[in-house]
Amino acid sequence: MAEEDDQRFREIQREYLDFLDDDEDQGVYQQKVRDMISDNESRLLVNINDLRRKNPKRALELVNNSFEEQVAFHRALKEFVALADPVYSKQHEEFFVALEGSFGDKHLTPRSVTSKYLGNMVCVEGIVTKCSLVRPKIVRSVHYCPATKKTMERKYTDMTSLDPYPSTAAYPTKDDDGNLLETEYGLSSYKDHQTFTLQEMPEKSPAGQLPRSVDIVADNDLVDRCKPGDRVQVVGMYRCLPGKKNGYTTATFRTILIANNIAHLSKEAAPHFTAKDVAKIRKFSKQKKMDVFETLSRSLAPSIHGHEYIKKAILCMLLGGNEKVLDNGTRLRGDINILLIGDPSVAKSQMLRYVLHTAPRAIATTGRGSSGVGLTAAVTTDQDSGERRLEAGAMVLGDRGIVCIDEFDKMSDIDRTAIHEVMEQGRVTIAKAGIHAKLNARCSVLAAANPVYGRYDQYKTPMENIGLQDSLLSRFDLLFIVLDKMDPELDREIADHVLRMHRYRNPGEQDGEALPLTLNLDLLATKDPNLEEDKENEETPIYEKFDNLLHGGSYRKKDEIVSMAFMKKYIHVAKVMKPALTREAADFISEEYSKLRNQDNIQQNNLARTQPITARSLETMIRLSTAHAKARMSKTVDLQDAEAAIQLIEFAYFKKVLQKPKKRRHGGSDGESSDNEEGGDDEPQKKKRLSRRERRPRVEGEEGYDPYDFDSEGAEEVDEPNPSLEVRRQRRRSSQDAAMETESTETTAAKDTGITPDRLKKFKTSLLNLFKSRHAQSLELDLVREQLKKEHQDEDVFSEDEMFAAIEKMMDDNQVMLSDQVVFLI
Amino acid sequence: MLFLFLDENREAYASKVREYFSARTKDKASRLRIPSLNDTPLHNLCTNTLVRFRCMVQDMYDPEYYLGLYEVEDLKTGQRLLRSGMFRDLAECTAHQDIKLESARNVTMDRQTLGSLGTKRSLEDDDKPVLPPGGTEMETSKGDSASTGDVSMTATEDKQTDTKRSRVNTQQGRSGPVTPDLNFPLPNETGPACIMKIYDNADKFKVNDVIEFIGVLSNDPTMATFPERKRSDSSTPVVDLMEGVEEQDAQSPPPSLVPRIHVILTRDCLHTNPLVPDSESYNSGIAGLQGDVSELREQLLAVLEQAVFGDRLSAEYLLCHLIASIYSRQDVVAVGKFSLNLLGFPTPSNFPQQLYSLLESLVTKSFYLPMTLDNMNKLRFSPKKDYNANRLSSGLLQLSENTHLVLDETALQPGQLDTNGVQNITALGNLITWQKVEYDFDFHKQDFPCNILALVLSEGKSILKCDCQVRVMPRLSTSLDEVEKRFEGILTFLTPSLLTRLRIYLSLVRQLPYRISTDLQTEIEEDFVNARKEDSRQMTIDDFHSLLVLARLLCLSHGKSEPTKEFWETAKSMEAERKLRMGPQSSSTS
Repeated sequence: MAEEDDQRFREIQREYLDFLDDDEDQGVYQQKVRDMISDNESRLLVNINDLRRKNPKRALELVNNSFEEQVAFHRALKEFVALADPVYSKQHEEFFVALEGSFGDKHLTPRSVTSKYLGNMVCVEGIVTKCSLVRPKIVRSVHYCPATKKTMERKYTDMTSLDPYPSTAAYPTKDDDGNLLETEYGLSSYKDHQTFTLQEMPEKSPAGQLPRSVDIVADNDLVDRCKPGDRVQVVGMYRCLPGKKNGYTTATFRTILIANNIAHLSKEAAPHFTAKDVAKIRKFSKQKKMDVFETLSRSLAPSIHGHEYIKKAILCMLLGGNEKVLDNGTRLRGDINILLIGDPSVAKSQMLRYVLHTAPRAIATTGRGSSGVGLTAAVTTDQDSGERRLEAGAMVLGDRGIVCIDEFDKMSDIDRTAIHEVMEQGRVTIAKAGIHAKLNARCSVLAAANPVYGRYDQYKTPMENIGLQDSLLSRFDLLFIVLDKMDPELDREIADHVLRMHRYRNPGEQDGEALPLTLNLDLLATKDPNLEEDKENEETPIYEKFDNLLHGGSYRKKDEIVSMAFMKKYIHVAKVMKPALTREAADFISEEYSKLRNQDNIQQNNLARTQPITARSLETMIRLSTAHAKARMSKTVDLQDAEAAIQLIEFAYFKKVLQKPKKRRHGGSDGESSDNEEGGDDEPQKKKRLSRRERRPRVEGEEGYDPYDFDSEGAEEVDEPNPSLEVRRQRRRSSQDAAMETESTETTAAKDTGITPDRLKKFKTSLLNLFKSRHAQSLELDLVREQLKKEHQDEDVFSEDEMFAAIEKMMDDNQVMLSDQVVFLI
Repeated sequence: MLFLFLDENREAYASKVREYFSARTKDKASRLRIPSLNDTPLHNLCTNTLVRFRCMVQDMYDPEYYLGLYEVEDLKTGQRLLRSGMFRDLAECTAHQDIKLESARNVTMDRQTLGSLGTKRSLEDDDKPVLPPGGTEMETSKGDSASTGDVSMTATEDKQTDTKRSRVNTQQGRSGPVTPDLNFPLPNETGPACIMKIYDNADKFKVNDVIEFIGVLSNDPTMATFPERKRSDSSTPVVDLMEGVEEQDAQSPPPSLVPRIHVILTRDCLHTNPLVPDSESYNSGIAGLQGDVSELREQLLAVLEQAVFGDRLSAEYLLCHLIASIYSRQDVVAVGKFSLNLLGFPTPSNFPQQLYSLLESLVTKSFYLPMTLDNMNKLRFSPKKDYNANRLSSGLLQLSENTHLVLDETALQPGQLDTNGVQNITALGNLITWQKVEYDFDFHKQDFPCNILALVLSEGKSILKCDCQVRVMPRLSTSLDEVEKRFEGILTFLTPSLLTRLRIYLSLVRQLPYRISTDLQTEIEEDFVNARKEDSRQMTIDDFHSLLVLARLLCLSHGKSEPTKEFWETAKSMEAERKLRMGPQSSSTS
């Protein structure tokens, strides 16, 4: 029996040796072993996928029966090293194998580690919470007996080592004959030993549950690889320590994970993507029927009604622009900063709270609670040791994330100045108490503030109402004045919205249960039968399920709300895009910028702007258009992006219109008392005001207040960006681009027309002919158009709508793909 | 306890056990035969017997691994037996038997452990009729369920804080090196603490849930000596290294103090009111109450009116506050929260304490927190993970659902708040505004939703932003003696039977279903739009929210589940009067 086991064990060892000795294959592991030797290390990183490819049986066994297999693998490695470098192999007692690769259902979180995985090789992710000291552990002691002049050696193993049988822990002091032994400390060998606790990552623990943890044992070169607070991935063997010996038995065990590989995870926890998700994201970004940007922004904070521009801006902020670090070390930030100023109770805090939940890394602080130091970083002195240390504040902690500052106005001026540097440079410089340090704080700032006078004073300029100095304001890309405005139509919608919220109950949700904002546990299952049926649930639906109560009575396609989970994934993907600015867009932006500047120059006293227009505004435009391009998943920043950005900027810079103090004299006329936020009903009022301006000579001190106090051309440009843009866009759309349709009537028309099956057939034939004749995989849309005209001249000529309907149908069937005016054959 | 012999399939075994017991505890009578750990002293219970325990989940420990199946060899006969290790802490093994730890037939399994704290009130009343006719029976039930209330009702402020402090002190005094801190969020709680061992579906429990467990009690004294022994045993050095002394103390306290319960069955508790029937007989309960609702409401209102110096409006608001509860969450908004700020009552007085003692006798769970500087700076509000002991040290705000938190801001004197104090105020603010408590995990913080009703008593406008602020307009004399007399009058008026009925009323109406008819909805909508037209300052979205909540609560307080136009109008007039009292400049909060 034992012999048989031995034989089998040697066989396994030989198989591992075969795997390592991949000379005739590619020599990857041979090279790796050579590297290991030259780096003077004793741990070889093996990708389990390689092993699986070469020897699936061993890979399976290594994962399931890790105990025995790992020993065999270690021995095989030692043997292999001995072949490669006999001298080196003698220097090290043992060689280790570290594993990486995909572990399938053995890829776990501390929560999902159960007794099922005992004795398996598992991969666990989490945050290190508690680290023990690194202690030496004796591996081999050498004893000398002065009486007999003999030297003896003893090896020690315990349950954390791989040797199958733990030796006795007793340390010999006498030999068999009772002679005293002396320990030769210099000859004995020790290994480093450390234990730490790995706790479930907060974003992965289910709502309402406390995070769980698992204990990890790290030996030799793995000790001190991580410190508390690190996010790591540990691959190791999961085993239980046997019940306590001596005396009575408790039948309960401790379990530990004996690590063989510790890898640091990036700070940001990436959501888990399935292939389907990626496909969905791609499909979503390429949708022609609607504006992706619009849809996404509408789906932000669905519980807050209206404020569409602010939502758009927040979407831009979540996506971010492109960060550039120039050769000379200058950094052009890509983070977009937003300031919301407005009356109490206009859902500002709610907006902040929402961002806090959606952004992968967001930190909340309030102006009242935190000083500038608390926001940036501080040097503190340890009370016990007198040591100085750096304490990171919110902005440092929010590096590469979003810092939400509520009650920005409550902060003292000194504190606000402290964040100047951070907002532009993305860095905190500390020069205090002998510490000079630069800490990265590349974060977007989303701040909310109340106006200086508590409520927004209509009769004062925006600048006066905001009451922050220009230097700080210019650092905010966008500044929104959110007013509690009165508009019966809008109010009705709001009322409807609020009522629905009060009537709605989540199906199956208990009172006070949290919405599952965090994604479900990421199970990287490949073959666990238990999980098969869960797979479907794991899929992320693009849209929220339509609920009558939640989303209003009328169900329109364009009102669909993108689900939070999908949005998170989409933003995660879109964020990493690096769209490049096209000439066209650049020209447009520079033109618009000079226009804005001009207005600035012409009306020196016109204070209707909310923000000064500086060179920073130019950067803002670029950032915003980049973010818009990202939302479309485009590789280039096109004109449409620039237009959308300008639209946002114009809204944020100018749309806030002041009321004339005259009103007091005229008595409150209805239209006047409302503050226009959306561009829609601007027109008549503007005219009224303009005419009044003509009628009325300026009253002292009022000049600056009139926002429309500039030449009509400028006024046209500023006041009516929406219509003009709209017109331009429509023109362009009708001429070429159907992919950019927003919500215009054309869309609905196209949808209604659709295409009949036989017409579709005809279309398909023509298209196929065209592809054949061209011998191409892709065709310009114009070519298709011509071909269609050629083939179907008479009354069955294909209309534009029909053509798109047909292409769309074919796209749905996965036959062709339309992108950037080019039809691809799939 | 009967011992089932297991078959190979452990899942089947566990579910069989569950079926067996759930079949036998289906009806209330048999369930009540199981002794309850909540009100039976531990020394009267026998280990390895079935017990009931109603508790709040305070902490979730790491899972425990145990021998699910193990082999035992009889040393005399040489016979080998398989035993199950489920539902017990110790492996069963007589003197002449030996456990084969190395046996290949042993199966290791895991079970989840939860740290839980017993709720104060007993379950004894469960078997009593919903509306008891009164009499001697009632006397006792009142006596034991409101004993704490009675004590503090007569206590003056100093006395109360004193008793609280002395309690803390005694606890500290006891918890020398041996006694572990039982980790109660509130200082005056003394219910038994337990470690629950869950065998299946442990993920359905959430922290702060109130659940009734039925399981096997295990308080074998041998477990107590166990850590001592292990520490002296040098053969397992790893274990010692991993588990610090603190952790051992926290995770395995002596079973005489913290017994273990191996859970077989669980029942969610919708409410913690022992007087209110469970869901089965719930509907009949409502029906039984229906007739008395308006009468009960009037009586309760009268009591509250007396308490708040004869101010009807404040009393109405207070009543609504008492039955408020969050019923839905929309991404970050908690719908239904109704924190109340009563201000402007004559000071100095004992009013906060007196009012609290009244409320305490009415609601199931409440806590009175004088917001003194000392309290704000010294107490810990947010729970914090203690990694040394590997447990969650509870904070004041780790409370189960529908706890009434009474904050006495009159106790706050001018002075310096330190960092802890500022954090505590922020925590309170977050609790009121978002109904979330942030738990501190050292490396990250995590929000846990909660459903706690806050009542802030302050002289002027509170520093905490409440949903609703009501200035009390005393109609009756406010001299200390008179107030004292009035509260005494209330006490005599609240006969035990009335108290019981009021308690039932409060718990029941809170859970009434609620819906708004489409007609009314359009009317409300129209109303809102018109109000905005008149003056947009007087009707913000927040005002609209609170109006809707108020209308809902008014409707529920009348025992109706569908509001009529009248309720809406009442709500509107109440709000209007409230705003009038608050003065024009502070009509609303954001």
